[in-house]
Amino acid sequence: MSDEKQTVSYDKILRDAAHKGAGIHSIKKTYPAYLILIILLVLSFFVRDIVSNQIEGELQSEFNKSTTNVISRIETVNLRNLEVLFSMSGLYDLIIDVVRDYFELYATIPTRTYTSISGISYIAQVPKRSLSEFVFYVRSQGYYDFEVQSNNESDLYYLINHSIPYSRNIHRIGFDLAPEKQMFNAIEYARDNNKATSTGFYNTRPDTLGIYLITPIYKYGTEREDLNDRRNNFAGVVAVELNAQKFFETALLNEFLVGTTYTPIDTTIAYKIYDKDENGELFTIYSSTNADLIDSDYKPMIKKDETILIGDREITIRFYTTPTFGGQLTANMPLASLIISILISFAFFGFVYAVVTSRSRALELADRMTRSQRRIVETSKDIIAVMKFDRNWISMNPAAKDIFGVDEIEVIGTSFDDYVYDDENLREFNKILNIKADHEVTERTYLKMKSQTEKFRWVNWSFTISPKDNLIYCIGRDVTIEKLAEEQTMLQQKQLKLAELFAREAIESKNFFMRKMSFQLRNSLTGILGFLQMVTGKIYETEEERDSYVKLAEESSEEIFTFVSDMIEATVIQDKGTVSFESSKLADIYNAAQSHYTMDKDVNHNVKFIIDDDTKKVKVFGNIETITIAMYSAFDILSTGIEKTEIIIQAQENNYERIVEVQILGSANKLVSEMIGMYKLNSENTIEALKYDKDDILLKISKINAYFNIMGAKLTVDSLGVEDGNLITFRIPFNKV
Amino acid sequence: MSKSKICVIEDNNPIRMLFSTLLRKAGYEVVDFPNGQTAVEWLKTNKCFGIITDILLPDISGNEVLNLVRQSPLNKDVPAIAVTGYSDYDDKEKFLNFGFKHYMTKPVDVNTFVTEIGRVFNS
Repeated sequence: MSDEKQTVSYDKILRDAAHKGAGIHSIKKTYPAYLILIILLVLSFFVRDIVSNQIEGELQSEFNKSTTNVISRIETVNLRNLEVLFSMSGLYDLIIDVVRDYFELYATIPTRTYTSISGISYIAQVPKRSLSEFVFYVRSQGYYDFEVQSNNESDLYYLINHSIPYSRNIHRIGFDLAPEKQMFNAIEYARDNNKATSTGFYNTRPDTLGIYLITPIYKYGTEREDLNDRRNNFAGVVAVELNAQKFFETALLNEFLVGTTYTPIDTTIAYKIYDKDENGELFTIYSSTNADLIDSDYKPMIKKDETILIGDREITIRFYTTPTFGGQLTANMPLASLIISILISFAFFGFVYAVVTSRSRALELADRMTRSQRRIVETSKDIIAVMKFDRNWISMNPAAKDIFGVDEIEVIGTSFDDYVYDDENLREFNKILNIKADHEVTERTYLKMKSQTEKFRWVNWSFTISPKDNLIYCIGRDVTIEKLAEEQTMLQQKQLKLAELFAREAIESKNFFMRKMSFQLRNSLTGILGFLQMVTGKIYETEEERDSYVKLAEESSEEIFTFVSDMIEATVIQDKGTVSFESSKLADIYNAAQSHYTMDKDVNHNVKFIIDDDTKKVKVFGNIETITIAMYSAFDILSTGIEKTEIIIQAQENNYERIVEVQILGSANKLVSEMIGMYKLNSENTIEALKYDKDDILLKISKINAYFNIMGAKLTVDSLGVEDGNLITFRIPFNKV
Repeated sequence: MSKSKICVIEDNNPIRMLFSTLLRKAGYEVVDFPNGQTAVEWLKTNKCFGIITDILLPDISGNEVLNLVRQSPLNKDVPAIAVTGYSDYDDKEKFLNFGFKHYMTKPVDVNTFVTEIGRVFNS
């Protein structure tokens, strides 16, 4: 409450609001967004790793396919060469003596077909002691220029007997290969194991790297089961000499139909093929066209070594991926995924940040609105307050100071009733609270409220009764000035109306008097004129009779004198210019008045009427409508301002005064008692007294009096005391004209 | 004899005597009353030739007298004349509408009073 009482300038509120706006971006409010950002950034690296692994797997698969393709091609060519070798070997198994023509016939086609084959040769094992026989034999096959080309000092020669294509190998006929250590070892291995084998790669010819695939040839039909048999029956070997460069080019390059230019089958990998020298050191026997990368500082994405067999020679192939492997996009995919993930992370961060701050902004705006509304409440001249159903204030704005004259903090906790001016206004408020509704209803009313600084204040209240909240929301506007002006206007209207009534009363009274006088004169003159006419017309028979006529005329003349002497006395009813002389039982008048009153009275009024049978039988003579209205007004006056009333009606004839007296007694009524006192005090100036009137009681009394004056009746009002009730008396004259 | 018996109801003594004297001299039998209630009681058991009544009587009005007489089978069709000091045209119409056969204003002309009464009652 003390906070509510502070005086806060509007500028300060705005400054505070602006300051609060800066806090929207504080880490305290936006930490969820940052938390999400961190999580998303971590996830981004996970995504990158996942993408990287996936791509790596795919690339590895691709790499394996490429390497497998290389290996497969080499193996294919290798198998083909071995088939050629075994084909030639089989020739020796079929034919006792493979002469030159046979050999040429079988070997020519493979050597023409496969360019990697430098030659297919038959190399005969020739002991030194049989050299001359061998030379003779060879020359007999048409090699007339055959000469042994050897500086071999051992007893055993491995001399090339046949070598196809002859044109390219004629110079090698008679060449002794025994000194070539790899060839020698291979031949002996083949011989001893009866098994095809191969040499390593070495310069089989000057400047030409090659390899021999060899298979042992034993003498036709001889045993070769054990080593001795194989050595004793060994004749030589068939050797397929492969040009290493051409071998691998044939296997690994696509050969254009035109020309001899080779293009690599796969540029996404690089590789080098190694053989081992006698010391076990690798040396290059073939390189792919892009194999320079392998010797540079280039770090391939993937690399691996594979071993394959050429013949039975194990060689090593070292594979590298090239920079173009997998494509640039694929290579950058992990990085790209990382960047995209980071961007998405920041975008989502931005979204969450915006949501978080927008909520804060909305709260800030709501806070500003709340402050503005509070400012309105605090500066409002109208009471804006809340009370509970027990009528105690639980909230009040500073307008209480202007209207009630007390600080709002003093009002809170007190009862609404404490500020209501009087019982009449409290009853009005009670009517509103008595409204039963199961939903929210708003009722408006004017109530006169107490004020510490003024006598009272008129407040136009709007009460919103909320059964749901169990609260009453109140808005009250000070309308004292307007209400007083309105009251003044109404007072003037009532005064004018009463003045008109009084003026009419005066006119009607005069009219009535004139009519009554006319009537009375006519009545009396009837006797005078009638008897005088009888006298003058001599309508009599005796002197006594004539004198009696004169006496009656005199009697009528005295009547006129009496009337003129008392001409002010009013007797009979004249209403609205229309003579209405009626006699009625009081019961009929009472029934009509009571019936109208019951129809018009407030539903909250509980009025009990008491009238005895003798009273009901009393007859009154006058304007029945006026008497009925007067009785109705008497009921109305006596019951004004209280909820429970008892009204006793009594009537009796007063023969002495020649009137019917009707007494109407109401229960104790402070307001009516007060107004009767006011009426009596101001009986000489009722119009002026209307400004003190409450609930039109003075006006109603004055009206009855005026009407009664017109018809010659009398009205008296008396208070028997505040605690004892109030009495209204009608004094209606007999019908005696 | 009952044919010429006329009932006069008038609270003003000289007027009542004036009307009675004039009617008796004209040969009518007159029964007069100073108020309405006694006249009504008499008329319940006595048939008369006609009724002459004032309107403003001390107990009940001339209208009520006529109303009560009309309820009596004996005199339900007897002609009645209202005599009153009021002379407004509206009043005359009102009395005629109420059931009076004729309406006379005070003061009356002695020379024509009986003749007019006879004309009304014999018409």
